[in-house]
Amino acid sequence: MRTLFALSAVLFAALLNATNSPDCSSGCYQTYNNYSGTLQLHFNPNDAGANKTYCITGTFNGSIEVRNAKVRICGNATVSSWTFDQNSSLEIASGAVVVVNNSGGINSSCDFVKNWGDLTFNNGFSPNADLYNYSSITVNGGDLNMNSQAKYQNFGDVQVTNGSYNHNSTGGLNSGSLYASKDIKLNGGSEMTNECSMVSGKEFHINIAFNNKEYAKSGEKLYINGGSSLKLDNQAMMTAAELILNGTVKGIGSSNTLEVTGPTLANGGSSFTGPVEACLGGAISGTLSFSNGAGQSCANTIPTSSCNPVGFAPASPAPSNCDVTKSNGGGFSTSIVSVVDNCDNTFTIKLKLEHSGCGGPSCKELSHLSIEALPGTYSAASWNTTSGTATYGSLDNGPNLGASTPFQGFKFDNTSKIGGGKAGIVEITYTLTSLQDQKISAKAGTNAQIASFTVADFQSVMNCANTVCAQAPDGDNDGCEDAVDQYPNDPTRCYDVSYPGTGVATLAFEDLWPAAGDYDFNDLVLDYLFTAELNGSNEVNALDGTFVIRAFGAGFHNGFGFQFSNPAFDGSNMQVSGSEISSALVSLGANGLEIGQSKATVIVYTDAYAQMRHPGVGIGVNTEISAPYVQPDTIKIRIVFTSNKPSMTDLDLPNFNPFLIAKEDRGREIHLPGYAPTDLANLSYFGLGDDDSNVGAGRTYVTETNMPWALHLPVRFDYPTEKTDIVTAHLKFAAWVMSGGVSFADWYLDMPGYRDDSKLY
Amino acid sequence: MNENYRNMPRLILALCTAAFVLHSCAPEKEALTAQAASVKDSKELYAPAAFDWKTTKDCTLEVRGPKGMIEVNAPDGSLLAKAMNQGGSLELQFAVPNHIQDLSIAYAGVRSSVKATSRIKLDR
Repeated sequence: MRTLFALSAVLFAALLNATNSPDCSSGCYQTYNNYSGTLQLHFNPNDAGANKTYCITGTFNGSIEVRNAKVRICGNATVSSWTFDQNSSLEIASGAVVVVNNSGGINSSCDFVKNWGDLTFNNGFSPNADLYNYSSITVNGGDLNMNSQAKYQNFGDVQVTNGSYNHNSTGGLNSGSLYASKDIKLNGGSEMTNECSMVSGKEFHINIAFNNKEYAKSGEKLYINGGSSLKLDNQAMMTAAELILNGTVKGIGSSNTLEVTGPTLANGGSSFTGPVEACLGGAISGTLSFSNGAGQSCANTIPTSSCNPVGFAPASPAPSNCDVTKSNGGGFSTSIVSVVDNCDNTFTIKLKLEHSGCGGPSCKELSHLSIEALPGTYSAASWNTTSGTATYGSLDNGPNLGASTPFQGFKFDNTSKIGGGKAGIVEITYTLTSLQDQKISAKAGTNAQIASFTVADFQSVMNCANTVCAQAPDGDNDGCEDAVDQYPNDPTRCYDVSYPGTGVATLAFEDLWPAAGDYDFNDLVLDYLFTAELNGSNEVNALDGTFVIRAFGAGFHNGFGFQFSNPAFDGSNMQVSGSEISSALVSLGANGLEIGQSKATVIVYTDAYAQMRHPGVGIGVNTEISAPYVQPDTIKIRIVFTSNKPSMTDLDLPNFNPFLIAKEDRGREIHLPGYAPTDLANLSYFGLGDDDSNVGAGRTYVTETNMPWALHLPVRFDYPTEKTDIVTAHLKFAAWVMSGGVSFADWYLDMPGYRDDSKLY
Repeated sequence: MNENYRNMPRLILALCTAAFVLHSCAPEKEALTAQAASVKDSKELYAPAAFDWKTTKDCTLEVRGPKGMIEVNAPDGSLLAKAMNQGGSLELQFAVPNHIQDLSIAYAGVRSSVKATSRIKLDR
């Protein structure tokens, strides 16, 4: 097809040849026929031979050096090199065949190069003077660079067969065909109007206001960069395999189309405006903005021409039986016409409201049209009258639509000229972040006239028309679509997730075990938050634990650690860092885990007193109102999984096994009730004092009355002051305990009647 | 004081609590609240033997459907769980604080409201 097109352009150029090409039969001051060697035509401006035309006929083989003269080639020339400067110029006449092996030397002081012949470069070509092409230029060995001093005026065929076309020229007019096997780059500060055809084999970069009046194509990605624009002028089209849109697509005249067969990435600041349709066949990321008649469709008909070899025909409409139609009453019906999954967690919905044309009291004129949608989930609502003369006054974006509309959403208000004897069809298009049940109220008179659709109705239309998300962009190819990838350029990472998701959780300990304490649960108050970093296969690369010692109402020097409950975790695939070890109480291995444990065990710190300074007053830190407040200490533990990366289920963070190491005695571990001691716990403590554990039966760390030494709160816990029993501070705690967790399961919240604030720190 | 007498309040409370738990269809909450309100010392508390002291409940979400990210949110919007379904089925386990009863799950472009039960199924 490209060959046919090129042929057409050459034929067009041939027409120009007949009228414009010079020849060597006249106007030649001197003629060189069958010349070999170096042709040096260097003149000073006042020399007798200056500013004259020197013609080359027959066969030329050699180099050309020109100053203050014009060279006209009419024969077959093989040019090893050339230099044109100081008021020089070059004309290649119709019928001439010129091959240039070293094309450097078209300097800025050269006036112009005009080609009516067949001009071939065996390397790249970077003229600094104006280039006028009326026939054929082929660049075989590199790029064609139109520098800023040079005008590019092409009325013929320019082919860059093994390189890119880089346009820096302030005068750019392509009235013929331009093809680059690699990229076409319209660089900043340049100008370009395309009146015929510009095709890149690979990328097409627009950094200017590119005015395309006919046909342009990018074989791969089309970049419309920030601040730049693609203007499509009156039945113009551009097509690309992919679109990266940061700028504007403007339509002028009518029936312009930008066709993208693959994915589209729309970034902030991008928009479509004016009479242009975006025919986007692939996944769409980001938000597209349409205004002044622009829209997303594939409905234009653009005929083929000598410049546009493909033309554009409307896409086949979705099967008509995809529509789901429901009656509103009063002659109105609503149909779901299309539901397109944009692959970026948004859906574009098109509804059709149709009126039969009936009249009379039961068929009143539409006063407003309301569409139900959850607040925050809808945007970009638009109205398009496709049959009849229906109009609306204003769009109310809600979400509250007034007493007469029994749902939230958006509303086209002050409608007229549909219903009440006036037939018509209106299409409503809008975007949702999620499909949802929706009611459509076509209110006429006092009748709400509601048609109700379910999520299944919308999915049915989407599946029927096959407008589901086929393949969303995934730049780093990690199986995690860009739209949801928190690390879109890192194939090893996809997303983060934290536990607990509600912020932080708190662990609260009593430290006298096996003796019962005073139940103020502030001997250690420690907040924690885990954040896991996962790949697209839901494998955890790393786990960051943040532990904040808020208080310890303890005289003992206690430590803290935790163990993963999963017995498969022996630590062989883990590397732990960040432990605060201030004594010889524990021994850590090279992987940062505690030695001597069959399950992976992390020691966070060994002595709270080494972490937080005692204020010099009271028992411990931050449990007595009268004592100075000490800034909490934060310890960050990082666990990297070096192999056999676990899932979140494997990690089982909700059941991790934290423990306090009491009184600088490694064996004196205090765990949550029902949790197992570690391998390094001294089991001889069990059963002493108030402890009523039966380790073999799984009964651990509870008293005879099943009271614990530690609590685990799913929120940031407001703990009692020193020696304040928790039951007198958290007033529903006792009811929760006595009911076995049935009543007041939310006892730890700040709810009316739930706490005595005077007893909380 | 005789050891048996000293333990008498605890025994009475334990018996009352056990009776309450065994007959939980009584006007429970009020009665329990009144009973619990009289407790001023945790040493007088008696927790049922089966009480696990957990402040969260374990949930398992079974998802079946197309490729896409699954997000489980609390009513306040906080993210409780998240996973990437590569298409097909996926089982996601997470914990829900006891005070949260309702969940919102976003998957495959649809946001659904569900109760925070131990097992949730979602087909798309």
